[in-house]
Amino acid sequence: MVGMVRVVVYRVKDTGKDARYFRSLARRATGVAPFTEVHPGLVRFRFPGDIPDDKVEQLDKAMAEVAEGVRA
Amino acid sequence: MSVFEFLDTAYLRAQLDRLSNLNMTLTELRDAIRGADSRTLTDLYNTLYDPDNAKTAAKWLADIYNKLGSIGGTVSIGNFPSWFTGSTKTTDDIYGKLDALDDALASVGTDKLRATLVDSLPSGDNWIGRVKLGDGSNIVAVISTDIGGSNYSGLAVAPDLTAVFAAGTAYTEQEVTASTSEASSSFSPPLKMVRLCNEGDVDVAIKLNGSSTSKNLPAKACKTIALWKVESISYATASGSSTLRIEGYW
Repeated sequence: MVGMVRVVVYRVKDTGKDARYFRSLARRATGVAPFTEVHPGLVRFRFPGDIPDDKVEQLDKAMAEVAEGVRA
Repeated sequence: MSVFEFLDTAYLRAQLDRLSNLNMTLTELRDAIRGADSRTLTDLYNTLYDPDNAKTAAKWLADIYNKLGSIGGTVSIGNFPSWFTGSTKTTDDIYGKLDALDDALASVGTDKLRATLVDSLPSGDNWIGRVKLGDGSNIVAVISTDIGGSNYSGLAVAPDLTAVFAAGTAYTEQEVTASTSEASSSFSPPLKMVRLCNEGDVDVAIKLNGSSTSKNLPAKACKTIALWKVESISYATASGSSTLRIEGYW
């Protein structure tokens, strides 16, 4: 993880889904598997390097669908 | 009256015929019994008691044993271990004694190994690489970890963080609220090292990786868990709420 790291954080509704689930979701949406941490009301993705905005927008949609996620 | 009137002449004749047919003297009979080597009864006695003649002696002993067995007698044999007593009569007795002896030896062996390990350690602290074993009295404690309580012992090797994180920063930090309702944080990939700090004034019960039992993290205390994959951390308080700071490397 040398170089830029893009961190994307979402405020979410607690759904009981764990970090493994959201990491898989992010990989499907962006093509990159980020380090993912899930805390009460919060999901944080750390992408190893920059990713295009359109990929992040796809992640926004996915997060909104599964956990009413809103980017913080 | 002649003497022959009182004799059965026919019987007398028959006996004389038998004597006339006996073509062996008493000396010849003795020699025939003694055989070509002219063995005597003393020779026979000496042979039976000759310890060098194992085959003969063994057969003699076997004969004696069979004879005694047939009449229900006992055999007293010396030069056996002390546990081979007068009450040791059957093979079951012997097996029982041997089993007891085996158990005793196993116990002695285990204790001997422990004593060897502990006694071989010099007084004072002992080190294996960078792991301190102390004086050996804490071997039990060193393999038992407890993230709660005032003492913390763990058998681990301090990682070389420079090497572990040489590829760059893989560190996260998050403060969460622990309340009476259990909540959790999860990580993917799992964290390799976690530092938990209870910054509040009440204890927090911690469960790692879905454990069914919790460990108490006292108020104002921090604990570090190293080189153990942590996928999830659950936290709750018995009463009130506290702030739990989670630091981790993956």
